[in-house]
Amino acid sequence: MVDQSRRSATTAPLLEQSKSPTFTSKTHLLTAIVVLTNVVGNVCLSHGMQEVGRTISASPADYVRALLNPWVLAGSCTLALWMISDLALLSRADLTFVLPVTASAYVFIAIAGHFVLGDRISWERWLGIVVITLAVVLAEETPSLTSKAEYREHSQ
Amino acid sequence: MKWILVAIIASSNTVGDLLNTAGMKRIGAVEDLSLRSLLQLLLAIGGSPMVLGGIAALAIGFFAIMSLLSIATVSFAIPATASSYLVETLLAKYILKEDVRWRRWAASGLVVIGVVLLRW
Repeated sequence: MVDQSRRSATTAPLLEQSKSPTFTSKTHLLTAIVVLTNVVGNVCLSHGMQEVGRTISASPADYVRALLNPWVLAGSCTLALWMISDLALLSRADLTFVLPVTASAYVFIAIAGHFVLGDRISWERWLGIVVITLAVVLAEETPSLTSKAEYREHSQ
Repeated sequence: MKWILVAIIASSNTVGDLLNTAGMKRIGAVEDLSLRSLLQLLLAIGGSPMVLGGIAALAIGFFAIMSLLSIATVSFAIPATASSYLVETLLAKYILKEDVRWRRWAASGLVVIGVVLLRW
C-alpha cells in the first residue's frame, strides 16, 4: 500500500513507476506467491472434497461439515492466502496481465497431479501444458500495468 | 446440474475479478509484503465496498466450485469454467481501460485452449 506521505509522489506517476525493475520484480514475486498458494490450495481442496463426497446443498452447515476434513480445511486456508495475495497483485498489475500469467497454476497442478498423485499425463495434456506455458510467456512480455481508467481519484 | 454450476462459477468469477481489480486500483499499489502492510491492506479491503463485493462474488463461485468438484472431476470442472477468460479480457479492455493488444488476446485464447486440452 502507498504510504500517505508518499501518496502524492507515487500515485499519479504509478504507470511510470511500474516500468522500474524493482516494481516489476516485486510484481513477479507476488505472482509466484499467488500461483503457489493457488496450486497447494486447489490440490488439497480437491483431494479433501473427494474424501468428503457429494456436496450440493443450500445449507451452510454442509459446507462447515466439509471443513472438518483436514484436507478441505488446509485447502481453504491456503486459498484465503491466495485471495489476499491475488488482491495485492491486482493493486499493481492489470487483470489481463494477472489472468494469463497466473494460469501457470494449471500447469503446476497437472504436473503435481502427475508426480504427487500419480495421474497419467496423456499427449493432449502435455500439449495443453505447452500451450499454457506459451500463453504465460506472451503475457509476461507485455507491461504489467497499463490501465489508465482507475487512477483518476488519485491524480486529483 | 453440472452446467448450471458452471454458469454460476463463470459469471461470479467474472464479476468478482472486475470488481476486485477496479477496487484494488483505487486502494493503491501494495508496496511490500510486511505484516504491517498486510494489516493495512486488510483494513483498506474492509473499507472498500467494491472489493468486498468482488470477494462476495468470488465466494459464491468458490462454493459453486466445491459443489461441482463433489459431483464432477477436476478435469471437468476447471476447463468448463475457463471460458470466462475471454469474457474477462473483453470487459477489462472496455471497462477497466487496459491496453489489450494481440499478445494479451493471444495469451487468454491460448489459456482457454490449453485448459481444454488439459481435460484429456
